[in-house]
Amino acid sequence: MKDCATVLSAICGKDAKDSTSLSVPTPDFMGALTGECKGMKIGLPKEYFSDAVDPAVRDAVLSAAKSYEAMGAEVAECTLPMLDYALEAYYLISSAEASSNLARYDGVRYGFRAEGCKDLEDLFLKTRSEGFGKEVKRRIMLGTFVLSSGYYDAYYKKAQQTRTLICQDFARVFESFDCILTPTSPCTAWKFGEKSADPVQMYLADICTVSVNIAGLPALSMPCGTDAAGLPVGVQLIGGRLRDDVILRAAYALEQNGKGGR
Amino acid sequence: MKYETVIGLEVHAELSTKTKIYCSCENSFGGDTNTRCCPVCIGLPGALPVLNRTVVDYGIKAGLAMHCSIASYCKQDRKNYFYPDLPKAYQISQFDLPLCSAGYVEIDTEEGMKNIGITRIHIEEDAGKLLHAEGANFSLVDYNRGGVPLIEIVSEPDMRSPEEAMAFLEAIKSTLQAIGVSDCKMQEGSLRCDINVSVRPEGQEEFGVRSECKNVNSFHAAVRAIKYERDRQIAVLEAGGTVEQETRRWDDAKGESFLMRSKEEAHDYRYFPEPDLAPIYVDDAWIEDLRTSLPELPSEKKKRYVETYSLPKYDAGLIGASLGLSKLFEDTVAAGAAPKTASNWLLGEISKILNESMLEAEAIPFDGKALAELIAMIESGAISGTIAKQVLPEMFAGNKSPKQIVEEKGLAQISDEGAIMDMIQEVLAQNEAAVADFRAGKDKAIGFLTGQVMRASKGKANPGVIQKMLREALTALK
Ligand SMILES: [Zn+2]
Repeated sequence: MKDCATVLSAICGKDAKDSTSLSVPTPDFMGALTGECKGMKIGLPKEYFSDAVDPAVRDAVLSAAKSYEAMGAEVAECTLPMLDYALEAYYLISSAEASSNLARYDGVRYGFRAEGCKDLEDLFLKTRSEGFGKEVKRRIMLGTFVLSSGYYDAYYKKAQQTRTLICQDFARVFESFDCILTPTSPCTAWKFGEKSADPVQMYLADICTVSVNIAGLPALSMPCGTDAAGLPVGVQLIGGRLRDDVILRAAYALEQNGKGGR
Repeated sequence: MKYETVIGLEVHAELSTKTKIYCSCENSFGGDTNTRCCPVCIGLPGALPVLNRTVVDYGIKAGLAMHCSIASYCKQDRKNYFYPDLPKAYQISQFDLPLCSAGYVEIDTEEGMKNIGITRIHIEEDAGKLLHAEGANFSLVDYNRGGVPLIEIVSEPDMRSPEEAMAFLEAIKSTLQAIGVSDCKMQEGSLRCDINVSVRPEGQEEFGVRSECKNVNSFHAAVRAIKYERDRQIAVLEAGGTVEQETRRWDDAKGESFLMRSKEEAHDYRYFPEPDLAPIYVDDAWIEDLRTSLPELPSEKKKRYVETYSLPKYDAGLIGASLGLSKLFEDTVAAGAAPKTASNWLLGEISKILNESMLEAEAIPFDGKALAELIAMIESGAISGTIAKQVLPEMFAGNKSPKQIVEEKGLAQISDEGAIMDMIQEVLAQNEAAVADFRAGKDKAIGFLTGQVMRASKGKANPGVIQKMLREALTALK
C-alpha cells in the first residue's frame, strides 16, 4: 500500500493538458496510512454477493470483513439497486467512445495502412478491416450502432441516464459509509482462451469493477487469500468521490493485519 | 406561376484568436505546410483537447452583437466522419446545446429595415486542407488550419431574395469585424457559407423542399448560387417535377451546382458529447463583462451618422459597416471637415482607389487630419477639386501631407489674374467657333471655354476666377 500511496502522491493533481482532471488539493496519502481503521464504516453491498459469485471468492471477502470488525470498524450491509444495469451501461458508453476514439486509425495520418487501395473509401475500409482485431471490431461495431441516428436515444442516451442513477446510488451509500468492500471479480482466473467464444461471459467477469468507472469513484483491489485450486482472490475497496485517502487507509490497515499479503 | 424564394444561410467564420481552439499552436493564415501543428491538432493518440477560453469569449461577443441569448450551460460534441483533412476522424463542434441562440441581425431592404433571425451560433474546430498536385494520383494534407476556431452562424429561413442574402452576409461580416472576433477575409477562407434554398408559390405559407448548397466561398458566389438554385427549382416545378431534399456542390467557375448527395445518402454523424471536455458554464458576470467591452456596432454607427451628421442613410450604412472608413470619417470630421464632404471623398475617390488596388479600408496610410487638410485646401481655393484628385493617389503612395505634395509638385491653384489672362487670350484665339457661338447668345459656350483654360493651366487655375475673367474678356470683344 505504501508503494500505491507513493505513486498516487506523484501522479495526483491537475494536468493542464487534460480537461477532465480536477483542480483540487492533493490529499496526504502517506499520512492516511495509519495502520488502524477503528470507527470506520464499511458497507457490504448485497448485490455483490449474489449466487453468481464463486463461494470461494465470497468467503474471502467475508473473512476480510471479519478482520475489519476485529480492528474496530463497523461493517454493515448496504444496497446499490442500480448495480444490475452498470455492466450494460458501461459497455454501451465505453464502446461508443471507443468507436469514435479508434476512428483515427484510418490509414491516413499514422499507424497501419493497407496496401493496394483503389480509392479513399477503399483505404479506410481495408485499413480498418485488416488493422483491427476481433474484440476491437466488436466494440467499434457496438459503439457505432448505439450512436447511430434512431438508436442513440434508446441506447447511448439511456446508458448515460443510467450512469447518473448509478452515481446517485453510490452517493447515497456514502452518506452513511466511509467505503465499500466487494469482490474484485466474481470468480478466480479461468484458463487462457476458455471463454473467448462467449464474449458476454467474459464481460460478466468485469461486473464488480466497471461500476466505479461509470460512477467516477476511486477503488483499489488487493489480494486476499486463494481458492481451493490456489488461485488468488482479490477484494475491492471503493471510496467516495475523491476519497482515495480513505480506501488507502482501510487497505493499509487490512494489509498490516496480515491479510492482503502476497 | 409566381414563386417566392426562401433562403437560410449557415456562415462559418474563422475567429482571429492568437492560438487554436484546443492547443497552443499559432492561429494565422499562410506559412509553410504543416508547421503550425502539434500532437493535439493532428490528433495523435493520447493527446487531449483543452478549450481556449478566448474562443468562448469571441463566440459570446458574436452572440451579443447579434442579439442572441447566451447559454448558461452548454457542451461540445463530436461529429464523426472520415475524411483525410480530419485527423481524429471527428470534428469537435456543438450539437444540441449551442453557445448562443435566438438572435437577429438588421438588414436594409427595399421595403425598409428587416430583421433576419439567427437560430444559433456555435463554436467548433476547422479541418485541415487537402492539396491536389496536378496530374498526381495522390493528395497531400496541410494540417495548419486544423483546429483553427470557427463559429457557425445559422440563420432562420428569413431571406426572400439574393439581395437580402447579400445584405445579411454584409451585416454579419461588418459586425464580426467591428467586434474584432474575425477578420472575415473571404480570399483567405476565413468566411464561408452554406446556402439553403427553397421556392414556394407566392402566397403559400408552407415552405417548399429545400436543397443545401456547399462550397460557396464569396458573397458574389453566394448570390450566383442562390439565383442558380432558385431558377433550377422553379424549372423542376414548372416541368411538373418535385424538388428533392439534397446537398449540392457549387462550382463557381462553371456557375452551376452539382448533386453531392441525396437525402438517402445523408451522413449519420453520430454526434455525442465530447467526453474529453467538460461542459461550459457561463455566468452573468462573464456575459456582462463582454457586453460592456463591445464597441459600437455598424448598425448603431449608421444611426448615429444619420442623426448626428445628417449623412444620407446610404452613406451612413456604407461608412458604418467598415471599421477603417468609419474611423477615418470620424477623424476627418473631428479635424474640421464637413461630414457630407468627407463622406463624398471616402465613398468616391478613396473607395475607387481601394477597389482598384484591392485594398481594405484599414490599409489607408493617411489619417483624418490629412484628409481634412485636403478638403480645407479645396475650400480655401488653394487647389481645385481636379487637382485634389491628383493629390489623393500621392497620399496613398507615401507619408506626405497634402500640403507637402501640392508644394513639391507645384500643384497650387493659379489665382494670379495676369497669368490666367494670358491663357484666356490664347484659348480665345484658338477657339473662334466657340467665341462666335457665345456672341450669338449661346451661353453654353462659356463652359467649354472654361474647360479649355483649365486644361491649359493643367487644372491649376481657379475655375471661379477663369469664368469671371472669361466673361469680362468676351464682353470686351463684343
Ligand atoms: Zn496544435
